[in-house]
Amino acid sequence: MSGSRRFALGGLAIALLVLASSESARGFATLGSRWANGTITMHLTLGPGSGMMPDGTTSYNAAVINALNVWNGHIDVAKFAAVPDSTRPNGDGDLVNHVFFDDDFYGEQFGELTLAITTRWTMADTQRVEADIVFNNRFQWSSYRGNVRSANGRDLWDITRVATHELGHALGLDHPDDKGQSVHALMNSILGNLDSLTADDIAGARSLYAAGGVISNVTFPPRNEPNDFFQQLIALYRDRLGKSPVTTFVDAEGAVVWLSEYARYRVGLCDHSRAQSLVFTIIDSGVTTGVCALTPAGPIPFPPRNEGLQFMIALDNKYRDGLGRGSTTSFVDNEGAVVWVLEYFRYRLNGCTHGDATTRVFQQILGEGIQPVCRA
Amino acid sequence: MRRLLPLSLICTLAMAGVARSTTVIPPSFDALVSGAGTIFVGEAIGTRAIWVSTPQGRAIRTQVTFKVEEVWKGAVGIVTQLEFLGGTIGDTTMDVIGMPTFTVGQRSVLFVASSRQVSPLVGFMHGRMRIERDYAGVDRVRTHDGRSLGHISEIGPQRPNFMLSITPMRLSELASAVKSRVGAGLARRRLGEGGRAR
Repeated sequence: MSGSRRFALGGLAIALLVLASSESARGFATLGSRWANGTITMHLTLGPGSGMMPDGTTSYNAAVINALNVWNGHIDVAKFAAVPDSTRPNGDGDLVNHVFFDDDFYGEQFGELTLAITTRWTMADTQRVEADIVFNNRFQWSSYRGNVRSANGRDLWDITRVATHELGHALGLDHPDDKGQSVHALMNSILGNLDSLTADDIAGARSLYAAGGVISNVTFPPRNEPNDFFQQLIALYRDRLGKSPVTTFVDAEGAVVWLSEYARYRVGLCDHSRAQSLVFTIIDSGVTTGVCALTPAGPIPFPPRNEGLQFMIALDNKYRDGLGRGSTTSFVDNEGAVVWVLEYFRYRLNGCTHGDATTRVFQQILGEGIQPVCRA
Repeated sequence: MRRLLPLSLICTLAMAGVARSTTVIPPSFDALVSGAGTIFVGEAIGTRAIWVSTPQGRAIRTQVTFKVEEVWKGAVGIVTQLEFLGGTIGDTTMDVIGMPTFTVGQRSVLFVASSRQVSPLVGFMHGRMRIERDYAGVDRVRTHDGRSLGHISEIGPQRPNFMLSITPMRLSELASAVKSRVGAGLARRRLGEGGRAR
């Protein structure tokens, strides 16, 4: 092999190495909870800086307010508001959001390598009710743009950059690199010379707080397929299980269509109440709203059965009282409709074809237990 | 081909990027070992969340009980407990971003700090390494967030910000490295004591 050819092959190998190693845009990570729409008030007691800082900021409070405003520029349905020099005493678990410097974290040592700690309090898994950010006094702080600096032989930490990162946690964003992602993001666990939000950080925040919701990243099967499944389900209930007819106000097509919409909002990380409200908005006005957040990577989560049944009962009532529909008969009761249609979607969204999903659901109905989905 | 080695090295270094700062500065391997009062391999066998009073309010802490398999530094009983800030009681959850969480049955190498602090581990979450058993029954080591740990040189602030597919190092290799570092530290301390005595 000639030298030039070897060099070309070597260059190709290096290019492949670069490609294999370069960051891909797979996506942000969320902590699984969000604030209710409205104002997220942060009580700041960071005190003054040491005069004008390199980026022109005149106090640590002002630096954090800048960071709040950066996030506010990218989110719609919830916004940070600052109370500078707040007189509220700092406290954890008090439903007040505090941002301050201290020598320790509510009485416990930070650990010598910890710059700042953010806590979050949530109710019922998804509703965020408090977030405190405490910066470690033992480090040198300033506010500047550009590469990380040192002073007096020690690192000089940019509070604006660290605050922006911590406020991302307060909003509900996690470290994408700790979740197996490889993206260019200020929310990565290791900060460096990057001093501003990236497209991935912004997409993460918008997945939680954009007006009009988010376009779902999960593709549901075409409607004829779940309709076909439901017709087969009715036949199974009638012919194989020998079920008697039951009265319902939601016809078979309505059950499939609206359970599908409910499932779409739930896998789009809307809670039960919001998902039901959004489905009813479509029924009432025809206006379709985006989902609440992008569905995380991995197996697609589905709502618990009791919430699906609550939705189905509410839908039945809406058909009867709100839409004035008359009763109809079906061999599949509301509970059966909810359980098995959602199971069908769970299999479909986790890699199963229409036939595979139908077979697996019917195996479950016939007592063969929960079947594995078609992808891990 | 010899020309390519330095070139590929430059490419690799360039891709590694700068990783000087973080909300928790990742400790080097030496700092992990020297900062730990005890280092052990343990399996989580129980967790319990409790409310605690703090000087400025209240908090939830989670007590994690470990069955100790091996002790690499310090002294610890066959069952030990560590307390981590955060946890869930009823429908209330307090999370500390980055705090390690454990499920029963998980095995880890734990670098436990000498002094009581928000996280009992050196370097907050970095003092926990996950253990997984491969198809051949060999215990291998991953970082706190599940990345392959190929070598102890990958521990610390120079951790590359891209992911390479590597086989995790063996638990036995990490044990040797830790024990060797502990031994070196002891030897240095003895030398220091001797120096003062003279």
